[in-house]
Amino acid sequence: MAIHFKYSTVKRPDGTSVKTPSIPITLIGKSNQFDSIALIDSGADISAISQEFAELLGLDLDKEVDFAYGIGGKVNSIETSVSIIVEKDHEKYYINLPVKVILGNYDFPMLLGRSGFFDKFVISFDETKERVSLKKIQVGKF
Amino acid sequence: MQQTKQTNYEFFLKTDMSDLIGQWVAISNGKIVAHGESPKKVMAEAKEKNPKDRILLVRVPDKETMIF
Repeated sequence: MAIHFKYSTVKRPDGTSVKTPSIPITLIGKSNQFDSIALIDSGADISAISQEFAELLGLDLDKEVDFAYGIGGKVNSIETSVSIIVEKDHEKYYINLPVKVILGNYDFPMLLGRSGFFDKFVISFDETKERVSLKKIQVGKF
Repeated sequence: MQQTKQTNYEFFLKTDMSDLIGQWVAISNGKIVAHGESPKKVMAEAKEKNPKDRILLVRVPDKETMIF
């Protein structure tokens, strides 16, 4: 079975709207557990969150500083992990996800990149129906 | 999905948040309970108001959501 999520729509002051393939997740850290909305980003090698978001969760940031590259340029980052829950209806999946914490004063919603996530589901984007579908890959456990 | 999580998510999907673009928004029991620039401050305010309730913390995306 696949689980489906409608694209999130944000209306803009100029009358236009932005629709994104975002899904509800539960984030679990050492300090906090809460729900959020994450943007599925098939162009990202790995998931990413902001430093302040990581600190709020209490993620382990005592690691070597590395870099993350993208159209925003080169930024300092730390690779760590975060536990997330993806669920809908009767399907519920716990995933320990590698994530890059983007250091500094960057502010953005959590991005779900390919590493550790796209190998758990077959992910389909349906622009005409404005929905994203996740179908669990049955091989192995996660 | 648990009812409160589903309720908060559905509220997020249907609510016009164009006045809150670029801000973090905390939703609990199907309503906005806090919003602002800092996710830490927004979560702290939401927990103070709704200490026992489930909270959905979202950032209302800018037009140019940054992709690394």
